[in-house]
Amino acid sequence: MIRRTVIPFGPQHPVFPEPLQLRLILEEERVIEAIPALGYMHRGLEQLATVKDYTKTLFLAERVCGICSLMHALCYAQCIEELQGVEVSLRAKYLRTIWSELARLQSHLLWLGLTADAFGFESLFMQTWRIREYVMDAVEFTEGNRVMASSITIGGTRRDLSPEGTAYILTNLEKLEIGLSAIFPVFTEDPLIKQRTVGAGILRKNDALRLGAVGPTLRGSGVAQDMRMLGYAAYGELDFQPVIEDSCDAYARMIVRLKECFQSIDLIRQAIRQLPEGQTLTKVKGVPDGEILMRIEQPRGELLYYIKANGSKNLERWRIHTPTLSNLPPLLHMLKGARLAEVPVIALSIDTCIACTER
Amino acid sequence: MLANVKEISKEELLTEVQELAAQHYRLIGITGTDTGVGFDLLYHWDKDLELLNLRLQINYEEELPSLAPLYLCAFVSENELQDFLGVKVVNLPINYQKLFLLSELTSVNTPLLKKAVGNDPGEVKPE
Repeated sequence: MIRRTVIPFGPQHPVFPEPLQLRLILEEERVIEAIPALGYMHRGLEQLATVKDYTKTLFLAERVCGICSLMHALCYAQCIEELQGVEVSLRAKYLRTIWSELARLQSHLLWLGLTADAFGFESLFMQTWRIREYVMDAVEFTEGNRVMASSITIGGTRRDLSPEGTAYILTNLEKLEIGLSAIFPVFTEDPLIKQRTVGAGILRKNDALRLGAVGPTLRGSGVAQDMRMLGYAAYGELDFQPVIEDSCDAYARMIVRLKECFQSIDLIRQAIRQLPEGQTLTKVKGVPDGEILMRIEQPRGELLYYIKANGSKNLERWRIHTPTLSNLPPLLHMLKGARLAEVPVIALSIDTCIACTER
Repeated sequence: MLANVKEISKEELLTEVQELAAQHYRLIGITGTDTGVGFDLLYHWDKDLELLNLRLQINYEEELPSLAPLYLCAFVSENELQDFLGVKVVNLPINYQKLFLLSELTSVNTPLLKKAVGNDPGEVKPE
């Protein structure tokens, strides 16, 4: 009889920037089962929203996660606007789209750098994070801050994009595109990276749907689903097709993110070309009442907000369903049968965000 | 505001879910709300970007069948329902016993359950 071993993978592990534990049950080198243990950083934000003024909850939403701060603010603002019947100006919608794509770029580049670091490929990690700075500089120049920008508010945006800001974004995107083109073949062709990712963490199309996968994890399994196809903000005005790969492994998920970086550059350029003139903020009066469901595409996948308001300034319920919550069951499926040495790469391949998950 | 909502009873839940599974619907998640007299549960589904919501209401003491035998991913939301609201979910294959996101080191228990049923969510007063 083969002896079983239980290995606690995390909560502190070099491949996890945040605390998550996977209890791995192994037979020799193979994972038989993986059980996640969460709860290291739950902050009770959903409950806090029931006692905070709904306008202040926007700032709570921004603080659900540092990397997707802007996306949370966007989803929350869209919910309240829908409940209060506020029509956001077209210019504000375009600005939201441009900043959302900058946020996606910095998130994907952050992940690509961390992945390179996990392979022990430190020069690639440094090059990836070096070019990520072009995005961070553009975010800081146009939104006023690198992380908690607070550039989105209920009714539109707090800032406008000046001609200097537009030019700065375009110049930095040009530099970024050159840098990305240089590292793209390293990620896709390097034998070390291919050896670690090709065939690792297989998630077939049917399993991905049945297990509720979202984002690049779902699209890496050949499913063309991206919430940007819903046309929220200005996405409905842009030429957009989701990136998909069908090899269903960690390599496919990495390629999806790499190609999505080029796609984000293209979307920002399209949005800047079509950016209409006009106001960026619509005045909002009153308090929200009713129920609303909103979905947007975060860098890690589908983000769902449910808000129930009762005509008072406190929300009755604010439910946040984040992409990592959805990608956790697929991760457990991918880990079954994997070798212990493959676990870090497979766990990284879903791009976990524990701050979002535990909120 | 909330489109594509189908009201069902607890008895119909598993049959409805089996039908959705046969049509390859993806379970997004489950939202539970304390209505003051029981729980309002919304099951969110997606197929080709179309959203479908199953809504059912149960009393505080009623047991809720787990969807995890049909959709393993349901265990995440069902454990949250147990943690935050104290919903009694039965046949849950991965059951954290109300410690999925909450910690045994704190005194916080079912924080989204209203005070009306004897829970103290803490010292924070509404603004």
